[in-house]
Amino acid sequence: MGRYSVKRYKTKRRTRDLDLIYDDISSKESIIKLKNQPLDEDKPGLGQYYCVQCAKYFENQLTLDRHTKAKVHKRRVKELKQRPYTNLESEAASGVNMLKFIESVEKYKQLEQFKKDNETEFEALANQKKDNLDAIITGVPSEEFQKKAEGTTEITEVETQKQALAEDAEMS
Amino acid sequence: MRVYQCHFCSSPVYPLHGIMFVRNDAKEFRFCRSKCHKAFKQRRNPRKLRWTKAFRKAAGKELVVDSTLTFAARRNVPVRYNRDLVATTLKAMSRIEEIRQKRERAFYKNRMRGNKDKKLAADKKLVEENPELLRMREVEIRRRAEKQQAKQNAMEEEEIASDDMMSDDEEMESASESESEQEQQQVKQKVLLKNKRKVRA
Repeated sequence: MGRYSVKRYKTKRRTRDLDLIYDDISSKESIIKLKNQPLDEDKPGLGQYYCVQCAKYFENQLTLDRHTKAKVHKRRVKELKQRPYTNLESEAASGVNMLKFIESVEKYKQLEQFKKDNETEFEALANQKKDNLDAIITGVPSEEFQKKAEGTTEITEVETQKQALAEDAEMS
Repeated sequence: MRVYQCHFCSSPVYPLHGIMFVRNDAKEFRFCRSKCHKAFKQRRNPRKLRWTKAFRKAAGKELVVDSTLTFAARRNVPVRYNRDLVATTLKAMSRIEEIRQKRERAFYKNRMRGNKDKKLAADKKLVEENPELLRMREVEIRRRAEKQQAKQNAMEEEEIASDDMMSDDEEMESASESESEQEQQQVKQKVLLKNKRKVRA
């Protein structure tokens, strides 16, 4: 390994491993926790815009969105779809702890099945859009978010009006 | 004192060998040598590197599901010492190892079974596809015909020059001599060609 590669892969520069990230994205609580981290001035974007799969913090929602559409992120998502490589697998490959490994594979399959059943919920949690930093700090939602909130209320008003008309039609 | 398994290649890590890396979540990763350690740091997937055991098992190159492989396991509960138990365990270990090796060998043989036929088919295909490389026989025949032509021309000239100098028997002898010379030359040619091929290969 050349000097540059050695510098890149020093232990102090080591990023999160795939099996840890897999655990992160496997449970709803962990996703919620990672997406709603407390404000931390040492992290980029005060720790608010975090990509769970890549274990990276971003400056604002725009850069996070751009990252989500990019190749690096998509490659990481693809890698995470495979079963993570663990110590158990390496031991089983050399002939030790075979039964434990088989059990872990069964657990993994069950977990994947569960995630597939609740796919929409997991995706919705992972793709939460957040307001900009000013809004988060002050607690006052920005214009876009206010419109969104109003937008949902408007839709429900239209629905109730339609229901009222339908009832009148039935009555008459 | 225990012999551990390398996290990357699954080879045994004997005492005084390798490196153990402890991650922030307190998980240990042992490596047999710096090759595996560096590959781990570069985040390579062992299942994709052909020389690791993980690849071989995942790709079906070795015996994966077998009852003899389920015996070895880390049991975290210590067992009270019992001499008979130790004796039977040791006997069982060697016997199980024997059986496992036999099964692995059978698996390997099974995997390599169709190789001869495949090779023969491939060679046949090669011969059919490249006829121009194997025209040696034609070349030989052509050269022999040319030589005969040359000899005949020479003999005709001699006849023209000195009529009836040679009797029939002498002609036959000389003809046979010339033929045997030609064959010797061709044999020599054949040998030369063979040597050339061998030198190249």
